[in-house]
Amino acid sequence: MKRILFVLAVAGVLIVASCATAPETAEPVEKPVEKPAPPPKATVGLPEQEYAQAKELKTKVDRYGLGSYVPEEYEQAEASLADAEKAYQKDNVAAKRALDQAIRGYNAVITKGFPLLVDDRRREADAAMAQADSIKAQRSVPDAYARAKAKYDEAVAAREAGDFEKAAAAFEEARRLFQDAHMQAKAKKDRAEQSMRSTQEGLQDAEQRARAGDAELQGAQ
Amino acid sequence: MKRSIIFIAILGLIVFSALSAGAQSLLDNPDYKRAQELQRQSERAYAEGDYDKAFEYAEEAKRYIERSNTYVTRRVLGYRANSWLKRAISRVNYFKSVGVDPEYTGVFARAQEDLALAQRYFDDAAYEQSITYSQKVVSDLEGVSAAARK
Repeated sequence: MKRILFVLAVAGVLIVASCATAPETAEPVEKPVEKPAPPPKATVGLPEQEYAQAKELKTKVDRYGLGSYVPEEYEQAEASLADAEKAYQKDNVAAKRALDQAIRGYNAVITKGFPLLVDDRRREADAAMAQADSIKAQRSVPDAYARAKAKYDEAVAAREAGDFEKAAAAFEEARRLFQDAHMQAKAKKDRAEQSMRSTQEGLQDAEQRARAGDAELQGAQ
Repeated sequence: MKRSIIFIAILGLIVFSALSAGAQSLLDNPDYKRAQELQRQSERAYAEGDYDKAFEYAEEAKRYIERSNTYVTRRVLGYRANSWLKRAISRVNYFKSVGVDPEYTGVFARAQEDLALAQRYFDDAAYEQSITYSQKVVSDLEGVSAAARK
């Protein structure tokens, strides 16, 4: 009897075991390690936008001669641009890196150079205004002088507002207008001087004639 | 006493005449004075920087200088003409009073006609022509002899 019970028990266990869901075997599957191959150089896009921006900044810097105010930074920016042009279309990553550097450099030149340029232009305009004042241009050519002064005031306002590009151009224009006013006033002054000189000579001549006439009349009397 | 009063009176007259002559200087003419004033205005305008005005005043002054010179020239010429006319009249009157050698009757007659012309030009203020005729009278009568006294 014990044997029968034992067999039945084993059979029951086997039946139960056969009905259970087999557990999932989660063995780690090693995938093959794929190192991303570096993209071929030709496929990196040309840094056209950076190049255009750097060239545009350079044009601005050169137009105003800002390089002379901050020569070291200007030379560095120039060198970076030259490097970028060498690498352009050959090693565009290097080209982009150099262009970014050039852009930073030119921007620095603009930031530091423009106030210095504006100060220079202002000094030149001040000198031209002083020259015009010395000849009393405000009185002799009021319209021309007023135009120059208005432009000068405009430049000062732009400088105070931090618009250096506008200030530089306006100071330059003011200088030219003051010089023009000075020239106009000088022409009028020269003409007046010449006329006054000849009138003075005429008065002296008239006096001599009259005195000679007096002498003759008194002699006759 | 009387003498000294007369002397003082004469002296006063001389001084007055001298002062009057000084005051009548040809420089006292209004055109010359105006020219001087305009030149001063021109200098003031110039100092103020009004060069256009300075030029205008100086140019206007020139016109008054021209007028002044014309006035002086006319006055001097008038005196010269008057002086020559007096000489011519004096010479003609002389020969009228002493008579002319018959040989020079024609010359004297022409001299009288020339004197009349000199006088007419003088009256018309044509002083240059008047001087020309007065000088001719004086010159023509230089060689004329007075009539012989009987």
